[in-house]
Amino acid sequence: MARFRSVAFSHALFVAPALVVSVAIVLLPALLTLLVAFADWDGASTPTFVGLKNFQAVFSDPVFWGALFNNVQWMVIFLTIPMAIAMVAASILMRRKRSSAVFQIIFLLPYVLSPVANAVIWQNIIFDPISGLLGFVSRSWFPLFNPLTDTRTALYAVAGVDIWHFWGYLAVVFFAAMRQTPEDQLEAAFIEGASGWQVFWNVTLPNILPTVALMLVLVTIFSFLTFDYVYLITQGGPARSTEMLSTFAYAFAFTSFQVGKAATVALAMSFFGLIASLVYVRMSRSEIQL
Amino acid sequence: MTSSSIMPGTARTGRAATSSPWAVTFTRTLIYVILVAIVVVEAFPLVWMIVTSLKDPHEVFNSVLPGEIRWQNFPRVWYAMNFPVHLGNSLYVTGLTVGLVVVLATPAAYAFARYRFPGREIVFYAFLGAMMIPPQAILIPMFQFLKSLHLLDSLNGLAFSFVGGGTAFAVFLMRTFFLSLPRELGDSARTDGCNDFQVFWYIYLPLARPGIATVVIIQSLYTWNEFMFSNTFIITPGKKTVQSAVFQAIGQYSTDYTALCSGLMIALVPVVAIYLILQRQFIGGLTAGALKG
Repeated sequence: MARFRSVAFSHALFVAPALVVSVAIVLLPALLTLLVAFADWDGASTPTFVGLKNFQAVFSDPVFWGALFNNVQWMVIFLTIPMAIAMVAASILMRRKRSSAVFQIIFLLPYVLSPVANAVIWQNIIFDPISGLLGFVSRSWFPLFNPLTDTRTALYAVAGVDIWHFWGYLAVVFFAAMRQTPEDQLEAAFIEGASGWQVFWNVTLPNILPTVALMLVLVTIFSFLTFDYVYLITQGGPARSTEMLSTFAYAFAFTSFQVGKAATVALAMSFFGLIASLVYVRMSRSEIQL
Repeated sequence: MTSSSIMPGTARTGRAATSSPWAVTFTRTLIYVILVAIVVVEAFPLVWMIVTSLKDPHEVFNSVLPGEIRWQNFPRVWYAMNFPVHLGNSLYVTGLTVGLVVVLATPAAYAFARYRFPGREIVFYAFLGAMMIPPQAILIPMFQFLKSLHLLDSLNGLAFSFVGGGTAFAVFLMRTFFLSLPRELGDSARTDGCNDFQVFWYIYLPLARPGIATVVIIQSLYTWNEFMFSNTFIITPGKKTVQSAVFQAIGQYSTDYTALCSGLMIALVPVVAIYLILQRQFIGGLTAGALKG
């Protein structure tokens, strides 16, 4: 490796403070989760080692499997709907380069706003049957029901709010990737009379495929960890119809003080995230590499 | 980028050869319809919030637009929800977190871009792990950890909990930036007698400003908007950050929608203002890690 002039211990000093902080604040707590998952602990007294008892209890709990199923549904929804919307929006921006800057700002606005604000806006200002838009439309024009209070629709309503907030990020990333498509390839395709759709399918899409794949993996990771919007809007209800692994773990830790079981659930959801993370690291080699 | 202005022209002639004028008109109309639909859906909840914040409380239920614009909702909420304190708390936590992340991550990123040192690979994987381990996975042990350090329910403790993951992320972001800077500058400075630290401090650090700015923007947004840690680690009402305070106020103001909307507006204004001013850097920073060459 010619780019290194010398090997010097003093150079490690540049890294030491950041390393200490990252290890102390992230890696040690992560290790602690691993240990606590095998212990019975209320968070205050001395933890006792119980082997696989937490795992047996959690895995035999139907709520756990319900939550996992909701996470999987969440993943399927997020791998398709926001991806499709973002792809269409980014393709449109490619044809409107002059106004694209303005549209990007609008698309990304909900992503910049905090989850708390977005959740309050939707829950109280849109979905509320009395004072929200939903109530207003119900009284003035035609009756609507609140999708957040029905066990069959609550998950999709919450996912809808999260998609509203998230898709703009994907659109901006896809647009940035599409802009890197080599001009000569596009020109050659057009000169040969390819239609807009053919150009997208044969030139643009292959060029942005690495970025799309990276986003699919990131969305998969987030899907197993999703917390904010669910906790803010429904807190897992009604009747656990929006329970996620993260809200399930949170309730164990901070409502029933079963920290061991909470760690077990956290470990399970990290496991799914971890698989996707390993794929992510492999894929982003060019970016994350020694 | 320079040839992009040629593109639309080329595209139009190309398409004209194969498709009828009707098809072109149809495509254009479709594009407009989609764009308008997207903008309406994106903006509508925010517009509704702004309009509601200016209404009289009695108008909320029965009219679309306020009969008369009522700015007095804002001062009413400003004091009732104790906004000066919560904005101050958020500002403190964000400032402390961002400051620490930049100070810790910049030299580390520089060392990864330029130096070889003992244990480099292990350290690299430690940062990678710290970046990939999600906050959700460490929430519970972090709570216990802060409790044992007597940093629970403290703004310093909250900032502390953000610094680990933030630093690891910033190291990777800044490292790419340092790699893009020319080596020759450091080499010639060394010939002129600078030591390693001076090369970093006087040559590369000033050049790294755009990279540092990206980290500051992304980390500020993330910290300011963060909810899970803020809401879990801070218990005393007077110490709560804006996000957590707004969340707690929902129940209290659930019948006073004009107040709730005004409160939200106050909470959103700083972020929206900074976003609009720095949107170019914002978008650049958000897409930085996601593009692959």
